[in-house]
Amino acid sequence: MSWYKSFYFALGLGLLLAGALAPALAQKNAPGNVDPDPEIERKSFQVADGFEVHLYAADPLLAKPVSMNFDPAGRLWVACSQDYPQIKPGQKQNDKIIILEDTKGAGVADKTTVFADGLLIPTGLMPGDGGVYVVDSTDLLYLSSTKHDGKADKREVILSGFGTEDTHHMVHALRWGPDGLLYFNQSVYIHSHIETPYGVRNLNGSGTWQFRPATRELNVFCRGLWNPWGIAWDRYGATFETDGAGGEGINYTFPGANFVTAVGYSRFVAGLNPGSPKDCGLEILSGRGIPDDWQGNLITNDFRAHRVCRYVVTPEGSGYTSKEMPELIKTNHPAFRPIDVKMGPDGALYIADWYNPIIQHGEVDFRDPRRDVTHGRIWRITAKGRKPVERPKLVGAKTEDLLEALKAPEDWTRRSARRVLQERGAEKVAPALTAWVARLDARTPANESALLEGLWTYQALDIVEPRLLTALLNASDYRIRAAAVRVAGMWSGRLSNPLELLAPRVQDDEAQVRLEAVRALVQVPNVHAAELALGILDRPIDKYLDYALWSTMRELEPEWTPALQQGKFNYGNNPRRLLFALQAAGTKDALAPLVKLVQEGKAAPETEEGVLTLIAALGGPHELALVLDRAVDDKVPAPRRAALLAALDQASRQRGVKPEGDLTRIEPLLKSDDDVLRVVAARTAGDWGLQEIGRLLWDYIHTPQTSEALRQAAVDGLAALGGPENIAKVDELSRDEHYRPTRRMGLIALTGLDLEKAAKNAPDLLKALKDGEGAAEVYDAFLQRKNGAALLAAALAGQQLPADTAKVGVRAVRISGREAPALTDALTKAGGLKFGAKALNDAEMKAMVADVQKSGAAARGEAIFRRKDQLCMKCHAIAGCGGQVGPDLSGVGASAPVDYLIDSVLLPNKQVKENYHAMLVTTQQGLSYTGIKVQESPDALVLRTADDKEISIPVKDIDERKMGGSLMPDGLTDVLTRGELVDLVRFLSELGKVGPYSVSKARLVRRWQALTAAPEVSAAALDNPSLRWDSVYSTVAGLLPLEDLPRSGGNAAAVRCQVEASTPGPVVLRLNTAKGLRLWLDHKPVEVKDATELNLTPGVHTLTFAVDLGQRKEALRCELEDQPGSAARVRVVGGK
Amino acid sequence: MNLLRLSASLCGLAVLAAPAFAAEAFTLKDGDRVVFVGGTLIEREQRYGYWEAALTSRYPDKNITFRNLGWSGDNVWGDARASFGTRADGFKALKDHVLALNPTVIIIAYGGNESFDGPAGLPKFVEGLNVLLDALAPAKARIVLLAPLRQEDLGRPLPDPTAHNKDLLLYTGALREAAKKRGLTFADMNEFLGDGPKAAPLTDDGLHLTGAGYWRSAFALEQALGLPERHWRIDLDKKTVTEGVQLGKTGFTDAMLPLAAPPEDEPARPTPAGRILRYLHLAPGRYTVAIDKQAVATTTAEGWANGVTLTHGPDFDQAEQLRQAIVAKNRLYFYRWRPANETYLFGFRKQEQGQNAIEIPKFDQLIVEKEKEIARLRVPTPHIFSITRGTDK
Repeated sequence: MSWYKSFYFALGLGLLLAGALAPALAQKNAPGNVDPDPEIERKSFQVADGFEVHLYAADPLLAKPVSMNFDPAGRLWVACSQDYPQIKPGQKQNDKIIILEDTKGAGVADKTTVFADGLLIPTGLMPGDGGVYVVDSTDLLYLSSTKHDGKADKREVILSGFGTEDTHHMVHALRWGPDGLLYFNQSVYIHSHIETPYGVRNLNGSGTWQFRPATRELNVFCRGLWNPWGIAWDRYGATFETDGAGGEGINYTFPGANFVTAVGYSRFVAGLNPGSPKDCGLEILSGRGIPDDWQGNLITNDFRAHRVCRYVVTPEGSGYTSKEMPELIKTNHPAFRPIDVKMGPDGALYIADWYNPIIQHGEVDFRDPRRDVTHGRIWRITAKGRKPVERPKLVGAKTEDLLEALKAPEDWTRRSARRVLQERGAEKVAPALTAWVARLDARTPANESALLEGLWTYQALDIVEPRLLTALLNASDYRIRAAAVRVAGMWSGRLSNPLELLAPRVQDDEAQVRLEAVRALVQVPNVHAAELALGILDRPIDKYLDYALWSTMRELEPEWTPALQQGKFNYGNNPRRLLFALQAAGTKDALAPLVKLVQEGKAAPETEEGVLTLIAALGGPHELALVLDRAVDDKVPAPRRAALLAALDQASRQRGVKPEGDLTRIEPLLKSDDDVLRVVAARTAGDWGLQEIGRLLWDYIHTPQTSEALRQAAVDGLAALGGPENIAKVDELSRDEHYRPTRRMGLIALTGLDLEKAAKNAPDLLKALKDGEGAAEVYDAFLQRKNGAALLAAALAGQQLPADTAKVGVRAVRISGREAPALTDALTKAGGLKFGAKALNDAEMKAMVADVQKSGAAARGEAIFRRKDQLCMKCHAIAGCGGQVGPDLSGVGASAPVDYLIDSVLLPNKQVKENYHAMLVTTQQGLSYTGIKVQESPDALVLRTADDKEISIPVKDIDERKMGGSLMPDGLTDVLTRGELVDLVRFLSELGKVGPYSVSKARLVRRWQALTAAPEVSAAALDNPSLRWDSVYSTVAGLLPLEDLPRSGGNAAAVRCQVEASTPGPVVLRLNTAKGLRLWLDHKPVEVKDATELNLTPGVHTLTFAVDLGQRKEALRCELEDQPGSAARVRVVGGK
Repeated sequence: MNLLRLSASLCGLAVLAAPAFAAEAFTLKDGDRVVFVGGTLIEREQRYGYWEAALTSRYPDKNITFRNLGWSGDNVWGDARASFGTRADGFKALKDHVLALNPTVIIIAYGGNESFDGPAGLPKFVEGLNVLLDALAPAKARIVLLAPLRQEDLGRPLPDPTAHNKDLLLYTGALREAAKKRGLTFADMNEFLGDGPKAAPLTDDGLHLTGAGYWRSAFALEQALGLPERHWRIDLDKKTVTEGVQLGKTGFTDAMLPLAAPPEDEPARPTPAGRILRYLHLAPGRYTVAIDKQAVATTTAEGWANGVTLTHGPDFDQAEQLRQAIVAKNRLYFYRWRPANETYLFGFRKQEQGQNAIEIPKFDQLIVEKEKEIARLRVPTPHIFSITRGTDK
């Protein structure tokens, strides 16, 4: 039992108190009355085997630590903020920078100094240059003590203009890079405009800055992530970041990388662990204090679920793979909030614990009395049985000794020694450094690491050293070559021959070196750099290389496009290179050379489709005709013709451009044997207004053999043709009682042609829909159009609808985020619906919170959560598996107090999770769309709608956009009894807490697709592409219950899942039992055992299981395990 | 020991003034609302307050309020104010913020950031400047166009500013031209910062003033605006007073407070306009002058006859209190007009924390109270001067 249970009891009490007493008193009782005794907290930790945790410092020595860093003297500097999240009127800003010291070397801080106070939410700090760099809301300050008495008496503003739109997004995570630059991150809501002696530097949204204080040069290193909270370099300078608001675990980054949210960019680098919780802080373990099997591991914090996490990254191609391992620390202590992590001078790992039951301030009221403002801890983690590393004396050490310290096994020591050398300055250090480097023979591989440290030291001192650089560009260890390439890029403006140095590295045998080289070439802005970069296409390309080249070609575009026009761009006469460049640039200038390629027949078969698609995307009527030539050429394979025609259709829809000449040439395509081609042709014909083919479309609609897709395309095509005759036909469809699917299609199409008539026909159709199935699209069609809601409301007056159909309508109105009270009213009356008051008053809330703790059953709650009619999993994922519309709920119980969970279920709009705000867009065509913004490029805005579909809206068509609330409609839980609601909330409140509802680190299959109602389950049947597979999900524990599965062919079911191999090889598929199963790997039968070895080629593979439900009753649990000795890297594909 | 107590009204005594800049005389009036707008130069001023303290202290009997709308990185298009929006949104924010304050005087400091676009960017800047001035015209305010500061050469590794300074002159010329065309006040501090190449730098990165830089430039600003210099001289003569006798009843009262002393941690630099106290015809010996019993200077009779520049004393103390009150007011106003967490309080996530937006207007009352304090502190108080003869050395 223990304090765990007593906490729940106490939380209820705490809430009662909070409501009744003055805030000050309530705050005192706040963290749910948990005893703030650090020892109680420490004892709650479940620590990885072989490690132990000790308290280094605690309140009242420090309160609310938000960021920490050691100085080379081994003192720990901590930024503390009690003013977060928002200064109150009348409150004096008084946040602090404190220094903690362990003067006796006992592993405990015994001296605390308040170095500075009077600050406002200092979100980051870094000691250096004798003082400390501190982020103070809008400013980067430099605070120093001129009297050297441990108190800052001098305050300089170094940079100003950082945004404060969100105080947990402000600039943070300050760290010295290996290059001696100060790196810091800012997050997605922040917009910064900084004046430097070189001009204004801007960063809208997230990214990582790099700054050299001595020269005041400030640049953006990479962009994106939601809240890039941690940054770390491995000993070779490979750079990683974590995201405190995103869900992709470890992110591998490099100069100019753009991650999700990067403002103004449409293409992103993905993180290494999709479906992970949010992480903050990042450190890489190294040195003699760390066991061998933990060396080089990445440590970060899942602050929501009270976990200190461990990842192992492994190089793969030009990037890395990353695997999450069991936690270093986990606990259910509600206030343990690990938010920063750093290695210390003694080889131990230090964790800053913000200590707060409340996190965040978006969802939780700024003034929630449970916010803790007085506590905070620093924990020290050591490996049992290892001697502490002797703390190196670096400050004041002889330069020669500092240089020798660059060979230390501890990253901390090398980094700190480099800092001391940098601060000592070029004049004092350069001679000794030169001599030290000269003594290390670069031809000896064992010296390469030390020489890299030497190179970085030169860089930190801002001395260009071409000889050492050249030696390391040719190092035997590829990681050192990669590091040297990055330095070469940064020095390129001061090197006489940067391209000569980089050229061999573009062709390096190792992909990581090629990646750095392609990115370094951006620093040499001329056409030859672009020509060189394209050379990487001669070797295998992976996703990072593709991205790196794409971004380099885009950034260098002003250099090479003029050359191309003048015929001076040397792309080696290689169409693939040219196509890549032009696709990356995406400008009209690309057209002429592309057209030339096609006309001269020089486009190789494998590039031709790309060339033509690009021409279709950019060209005018004349060029589009060239594409049409190919699309109608029956020597070209059907899928390629379909793709080309689709590109032409898009040109017509998005740009209003059609090929010149005879368009009826596509008529034979409509009669093709290939259904996909027919579908595209039907749509295109409609969009092109080919009235001649109306008859043909009409025939397709009425032919029973027509596929569903073609029928839909035919209806859409007919609607696009327009004209009185076709409108009459569509109207007829919408009233035709025989073909229900076409009737619905017809009505939806009619809303775009004659809204009034559509409204008139709507009630009869809606009445005919069973259980409201398919009704949502009908409502959406009206809601999308101006006056649509009002007309439909009028048409429904006095009518009766099945309750379910009416409910779907009310939900559709809510999801749309638009005001349509008349329609809601009409639907409520027509369906005889009753909507109760949902907001709980204080007493009801307290009672429900108490019941959740007392009688809520998580297992029953999970069953409710999984109920199909409850729709939860349609939008929400757990461990990345489930709908992608709403937030992943894996850690929600550990991060959100129960009352907030109740509110979120009952009143979804009261607190909306970061990144889940709907955007309401109205187009010039008068159409309305509602969805979560996925990405935006200069051309198109992509939204994810409430039914988890992505729609792309041309930016030029957008008339108005505004932010709305949640996509989650109110009233989803109306159908639940109070007891069921209590169970559901209990389940949510357990998610992420240590116990049965925390997501295991095992590679479990969690997302399945189940075969829906097929006549039989057989190999032949599974191959049939027209069968429908619907997503089903495992429980949090990783079990797929069989009773929910749709039956096929009597008493059988079929489920499938996907796995992706990034490195090929054998892997083990582990089942709880193979009983009653048959297995196919990509449609090839495999003998299934409890542990089945699968030898996988690179790419995505489908595993299909046939389940004999007569034989097997056990739920299905399926896990991937590494095969000992195998290099294979395989992940389970998640998602919706 | 000689004890001499003096008292006389300073007002008519010796405040020497000569407008250094012959443009139309700039002055502030009772009831003026002065709005500063610009980039980092303006934004950081609010944290030091020397400019505002200088202008405030000049008009002790007038109620003049100041609002600082500086925003780092900003330009005539309001780019830094766009937040989540477009350039048009940034410009609208700039315009709306200024106009909402009902300014009677607007001090505009743009052109520095824009100048990094070089000669090619000049036409665009002129266009943007005119659009801005048109947009602010409805305020019917007296407008001052402040020239950007020349970039200082602080040596390598900071950049050589020669090329940029050429461009700056182009942009400064455009500002001067616009001011002339529209009949606005144009103020160029650069002309009055001429301490010579060996003077201590005013910036720490070539562009941005340090605390001492703001202090030093406050005098230059006054000169550039054509305000009288802050010369102050009192001549006393032993013959005019009788030992131990107090003259008058009110003591010395300054016409205006001096500017607060520069930050302590900055290198010493000459005071551009001094307060000089001369004492003639003293018998040989060392004398200490105290103001309100606070010793302010000790020197020989000869030294007193030559005049002593005062750099501290009760007036300076009060001036520092005034400056600090201004800085405190500006901080409150910053919380008010540029609150953190705007996204949650007023932006697209206001349905979550919009309830806390009610806190923000509560700063208004605190600002009113601070301004009462400023109004009290800006008025000089009477002082008693005394002179004491020490032991001869």
